[in-house]
Order: sequence, then C-alpha cells, then structure tokens
Amino acid sequence: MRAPDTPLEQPLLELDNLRVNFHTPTGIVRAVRGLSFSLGRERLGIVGESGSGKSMTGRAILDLIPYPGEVLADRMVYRGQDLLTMDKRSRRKLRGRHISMVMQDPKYSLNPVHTVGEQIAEAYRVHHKASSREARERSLTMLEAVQIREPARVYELYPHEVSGGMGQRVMIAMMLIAEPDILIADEPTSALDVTVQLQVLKILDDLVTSRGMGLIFISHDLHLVKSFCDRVIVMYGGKAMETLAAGELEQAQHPYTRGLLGCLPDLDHPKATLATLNRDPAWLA
Amino acid sequence: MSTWTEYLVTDSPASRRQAKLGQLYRQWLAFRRNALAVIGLCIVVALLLIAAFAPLIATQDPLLQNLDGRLLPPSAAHWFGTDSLGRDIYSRIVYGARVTLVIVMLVVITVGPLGLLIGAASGYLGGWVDRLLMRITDVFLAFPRLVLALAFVAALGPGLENAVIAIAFTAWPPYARVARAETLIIRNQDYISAVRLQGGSQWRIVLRHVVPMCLPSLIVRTTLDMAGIILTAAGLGFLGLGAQPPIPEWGAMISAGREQIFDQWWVATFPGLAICIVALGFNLLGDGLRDVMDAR
Amino acid sequence: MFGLLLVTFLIARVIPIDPVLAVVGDNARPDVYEKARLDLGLDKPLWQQFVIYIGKVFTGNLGTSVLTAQAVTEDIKRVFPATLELATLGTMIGVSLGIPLGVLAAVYQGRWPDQVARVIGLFGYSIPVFWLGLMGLLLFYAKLGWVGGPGRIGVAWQDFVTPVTGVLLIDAAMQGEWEAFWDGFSHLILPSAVLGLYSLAYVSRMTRSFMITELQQQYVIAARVKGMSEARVIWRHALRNAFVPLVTVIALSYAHLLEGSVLTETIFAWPGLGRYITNALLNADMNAVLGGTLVIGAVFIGVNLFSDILGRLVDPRTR
Repeated sequence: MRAPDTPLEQPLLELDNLRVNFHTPTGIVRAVRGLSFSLGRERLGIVGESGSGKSMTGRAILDLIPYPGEVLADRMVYRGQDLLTMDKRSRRKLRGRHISMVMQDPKYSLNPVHTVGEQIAEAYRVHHKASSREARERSLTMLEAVQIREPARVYELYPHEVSGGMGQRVMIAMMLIAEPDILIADEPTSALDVTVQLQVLKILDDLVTSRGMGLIFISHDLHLVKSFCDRVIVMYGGKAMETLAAGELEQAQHPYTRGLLGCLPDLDHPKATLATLNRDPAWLA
Repeated sequence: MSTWTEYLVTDSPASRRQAKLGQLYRQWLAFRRNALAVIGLCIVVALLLIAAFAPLIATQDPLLQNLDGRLLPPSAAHWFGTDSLGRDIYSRIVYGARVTLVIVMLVVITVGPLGLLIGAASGYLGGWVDRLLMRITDVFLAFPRLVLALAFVAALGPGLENAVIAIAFTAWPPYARVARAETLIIRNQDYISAVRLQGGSQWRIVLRHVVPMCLPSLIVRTTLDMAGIILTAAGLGFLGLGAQPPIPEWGAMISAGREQIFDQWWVATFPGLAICIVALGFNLLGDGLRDVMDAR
Repeated sequence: MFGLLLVTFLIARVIPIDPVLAVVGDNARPDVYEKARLDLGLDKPLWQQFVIYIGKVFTGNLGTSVLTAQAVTEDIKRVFPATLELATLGTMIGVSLGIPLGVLAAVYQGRWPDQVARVIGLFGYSIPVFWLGLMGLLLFYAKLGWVGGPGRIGVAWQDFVTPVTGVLLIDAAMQGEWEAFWDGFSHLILPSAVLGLYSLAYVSRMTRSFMITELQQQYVIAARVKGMSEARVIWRHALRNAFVPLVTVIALSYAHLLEGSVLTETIFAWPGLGRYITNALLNADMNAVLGGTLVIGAVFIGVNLFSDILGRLVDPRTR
C-alpha cells in the first residue's frame, strides 16, 4: 500500500476488473463485466449506448449501487486508499469531498422543496465545519464561478424557477463546492437545449482544468467526447471495447467503434442511408 | 402433473382458455410467494368452512339458555365461557360466522354491481350523465360512512336487513369511482372502437367489454372493503342497531359483554377476537391480491 | 354542502317516526296534533319545506333536541370541543408514530421491517375500535391502573375547571390547575391512543408508498453524491418531499377520527359529539341526530378544503 501523500504523477483512481452484478429473481444481470482503467489529472471519456454499463461504472466508483446490486473488483484505489476494504462511512466521506458527480437532468436531480442556495450550502457544510453565513458566502462565490450573474437572487430560487442551463450550472456549483479531485459527469448536457450545451461544457472544462481535477465524462455522444476529452474508452455490454486517445478516434481499429462512427451523419460526405450497428456476441466472451 | 404445468406455463397457448388458465396459474404462483396473503386466504377459507359446518363445529345450541350456568369462565365444557344468559360463547361465535358472512355477502352483491354499473355508465357515457352521477357520488363520499349508516338505520329502524341496506347505501361510491376511472382508460382503447364500428350498441359495449375489464381492480377493492363492512356491521350491532337479539352477532355480543368487562372479561373478549381475525384475514387477502392483480 | 343538506333533509323525511308525535306526545288530541303539524310546516310541499330547512340551517338553527330540551346548536357547541380534543390527540399519536413506521418500511422495502409495518397497518384496519377500547380499559385501567377510567375527568376534579375554550386540557393549563390537567390527560390518553391506531395504520401505509416513490428520485442520488448521511438523505430530502401529499392524508385521517369517535366515545363515556349522536339516535331524537350528522359532514368538507390549501403551502411549486 502506498502512502497517502502520493506524488502528482501517480494516478488518482485505479480500477482493475470492475464488475457490477444485480441479483434478480430471474437470474444475475451483469451490468459491468470487467472494466479496467486508471485516471490521472485528465479528461477521460466513456462512450457507449444505453445499457452499456457506463453509468453503473460511475455509480460503482461512488459506492451508490442500489440494494440488490453488488460491486466486485480486483483493485479499486483512490490516491493510494483501497476503496474495496474501506467501510461505508469512510466511502461516504469521500463522496462530494473527493469524488463527486454531475447528473443528467437538473430538473430531477435538484430537490424541488429546497432552494438551490440551501442545497449548495448544504454540500459545503457536510464536509466543512462552517457557520451558515460562511457556507452562504462560499455558495455565492461558487455560483459566480459557474457564471451566474445575480448569485444572491438565484440563491433564493427554487429548482422549478430556474432554466435547464442554469439548473445544470447550479448542479456543477453544488458538486464542486467541496473541491473534489475527481468529477464524474454523467451525460451532463444531454437534457439541455443545444444552445446552452456548449456554454455549460465550457464552464465545466474551465473549472476542471483550473483546479487540476480528474474528469470522467460519460456520454453517448461520440463527437462531443472526441472534442472534449483527452482519452476515450468505448464500452459495449459492460466491457471496454477499446481505449484510445481522443485524436485517434477516427483511426479506431475495433469493429464496434468503427460501427459507431459509421452511424454518424456527416454533412461533408452525405450518405444515402446511415449504417446500422452490427453487434458481435463474441466481443463479450 | 408435469404435463399440466407445461400446459399452463407455455409461451404459446393454443386456445383462449389455455391463455386464461395460464395467466391465472402465474398469478397463483406469485400469490403463493406472499406468506401473509396465504395466511389471509386460510383465514377466509376457515371462515367459510366454519359457517358452512356450524352445527358440527359448535358444541351447543347457540340460543340455549341455562340460567344456572351464567357467566361461567372458560372451561373444558365451555371453551370461551358463558354469557349472562348462560349461553355457550364458543357456539355463539361459531354461528355468528354465518351472520357475518350473510351481511358481507348481501352488501357485496348489492354494492358491487351497483357501483360497477354506475361507474361504468358514468365513465363510458360521459357528458351530463357523468356529471350528475359523479356529483351524487361526491355527496355520499363527503359523509363519514359510519355516521351516515347510523342516520339511515335510525330512519329505517334497527334490524339486520336495515343494517345491510344502510351499509350498502354508504358503501357504493368508492366502487363507482374505481369503475369510472378504469372505464375512462378503457373507453379510448382501439378495441372498443372496433366493437363500435361493428355496430355494437352502447349497452353491449358497457356490459360485455367495459365491465369485465374493470373486474380485477374491483375484486381487489371488494376484498379490502369486506373488512370495513364487517367492522361497520359490528359497530351497528354494538350500538344495538344491527342484528337483534337473540341472533348471535359478534358486535352485539361485545355490547352484551360490556357491562361485565371488568369482572367477566371473556364475554366481550372472544367475539372481538373473532371480528379481528376475520377482518385481518380479508385485509391480508386483499393486500396480497392487489400485489398480484394490479401491479401499480 | 348543498348535497349534504339534501341528504339529511331526505333522511328526516323518509323516517317512519312521526316528528309531530315526538313533539306532542302519544296521547295528544287531534286538534293539538294538527296545530303542531302546521307549526312544523309539514303541510307545505316538500321543496318548500326544504327551502325553509336550508334557511334555518344557515341561520344556525338546527331545531330543538327532544332529549335535552335545548337548541341543537347549543348542545353541539357544548360537546364538540371534547371530540376535537380526542381526535386531535389521536391524530398526533397516529402521525408521530405512523410517519417513522412508514419511512422505515419504505427504506427497508420488502425486508422484515416492511413486513412488520404492513402487519401493524393491517391490524389497525382490522380491529374494531369499540372492542379495542374495552380491552384497553380492562388492561390499563382495571388491571394495571395506569390510566384514568371512563369519562373526561375524575369525580374529584368535576367542575373544577371553568370551561373557556371547552377543550379541557387547554382550559386547565390556562388556569394553572396542573393536577386537573394531569387527571384529564390520564382520561384522555387511552381513548385517543385507541383512535390513534387507525390513524397510525393509514398514515404509515401512505407514508410508505410516498417514500418509495421519493427514494427512487434522482435528487436522492444527488444528495448521496454530496456525501450526506443516509439519515439526512431520508429525513431531510425524501421525507420533506413525501410530506407534500401526506398533508392531505393526515387531514383525511383527522376527519375519519371524528367518525371513529362515535363508537369510541360510547365506550369511554366521553361527553363528545359522537356520544351525543348515538344517545339521540337511541332515543329517536331526530333533530339532534341530523344536526350532529350535518356538523360532522361539514367538518369533513372543511378539513378537505383546508388540506388542499395546506398542501399548496408546503409545496414551493404551487405556492
């Protein structure tokens, strides 16, 4: 086991052979079947269709797999701390403070009966002994950091009173206020209007880069991942098909990745019909 | 035996009956896994058996008075003791199962079809019929049931039949509501349009197509409601407004034992236990049926 | 409300008991009988009688009780606070135990705490209140002596507290009569606990189903991501949301307790509206019965309206 003061070159997170299983009355559903990667201070994309296990990977890292599910791995280490042997309480203390997550739709992931300000301040106070005034100051600063113009006014609003784009910026503020090292962004822009998607992504990118965080960016959108991330893992059926540098995506070798790329329409080279995906059961063997 | 199971669980039933039976069988399997529901079923079946074979199960005539043996505590001769007229409480409870069952059955056979018809007609016909019927329903729902039943019995005079009428009069609105809600969903389905295109009359559609679709949720509702009916009937009996003496009605028996509650506890305790167990049986059964039949 | 009046009116008209005889007695001479009949307005057409009836109700005139020889309105004013006291404490007991039980059942859905809560809930639906009341008296009053017996207060404190609000505990507390307060409380606790069991059953079942819905929401996961303890996630985030529909449920159960009080008050000799109605009923005092029924029906409707308003207040989306 390494000492906790790991040098910066060491990876933030190492995963080896991660598996997520759900025990149901009709049998075991394998959501993730042996995924390995390590994350440094970089932007790592995970792409895949729905049901490919990409979201479950994020949940497993956070210890948020619901009751009938189980998480298995050969190795799961955050900055030298073994997550597999850690108790529930310590895992919880890691959440928000060290590893955090931005979820898909702010409409559902913000609590409708508390003001957005309360929810941000609460995230700060879980991990820091702070007076409510201090937490409020912090939250206002954080709202400014996600480029909200009138933080004091927005602080008092309820989630149904803010727009989707603003809601997602609030979400980012809430998840970053405790200054985590790793942020998992699970489809952070797919519920938003196209016009605000780029704006939100820009804010996310700036914050992640300026704070030197590691980002796991989960998406089904190949283009987005290609332009936004440093490295990409392509997942299918709970397994990694291949891992590539984002710039090399066009030169991908694996037939599944090639298939995904083939499905994308291209205005410069229009095709009469888009290709459909061919899935080979042998990939999952 | 195994060929039967195969016949029932096949994915490609050959006939309508096989599909129907198969579905019933699967629901039965799901039901059987729920231990509480099975207990409920056992209680209800036991109640039916006791009511059917009351003369064999009872140790005495429930009306036989024995003034020398008044208020005897439970013993080998009188398992639950005797009441203030020396009647055997155990036998009275056994026969009381019949009274309870009669009340429940009478109420259900009046209320079920009534509520179903009003609800289905209201939901299917819509328009002013719907508004009128639902307004009436709302008025009845606005009243607390027991109080309304009390007022009815007061108006009609005490007695078993009047108690049944009063309960039935206050029990139908929820059924109408459920049936109407179901009907509104079914009404706009394509197969109803198909029947209409074939020239089926309004009544034919309501009776043959809409009503059967409402049945499962109404059955569940009825089972859960039976407990409520039993309790209301017992309440009326307790106030002396239900079945009149010497009929062995459980609520009235509790009322009779009320005077001696501190000295001869058994007189009121056992009939109450009987009500409890039976009501619980219906509740458990209804709860289990709900899990199986309408998975909401 | 109109329908409510119509129903009570019609019940009054269909009864085979002759209201005239109730006034003049069985042996009245025909001319006296006829005069009383005209006084009661029974010679007019039905719809006219109904209009007169409505007019009377809105001016607070529910007729005179044969039993107490007083205006029914006065009688109800006197007995209603006692029922209110009973139903309020019953609801408080039901809510304070029912919500935690329902939350527990939802959190451990399908496991043993859920089953236990389910059985407790079904028991609450299955036990006749009048029997439970008797058993409670037998055990806690006669055998154990933990609580006061039937009635609202012990004989020693009878007429000790001057009625101001009519709610005995409040009156006693305001006048600093603490011994009377505690004696009253010991009489109150058992009947309200009996009533509370029904409320507990209802509230816990509804809490469970609302909480199961809320616990599946995304914001619950978001709260966990922030690193909040599970207790805070459940109580502060999920329950606060489940509370919005729960307000209606609590109001409904409160209204139901008014109904349950009819039987409970009989058992505990509690001088409230329920016992007033049953007494009147057994003595064919129809004015009192219908007046009482009308009041309970009106409270029912009132509570429903109130819960709608309250529900809006606790939900920022509709505020």
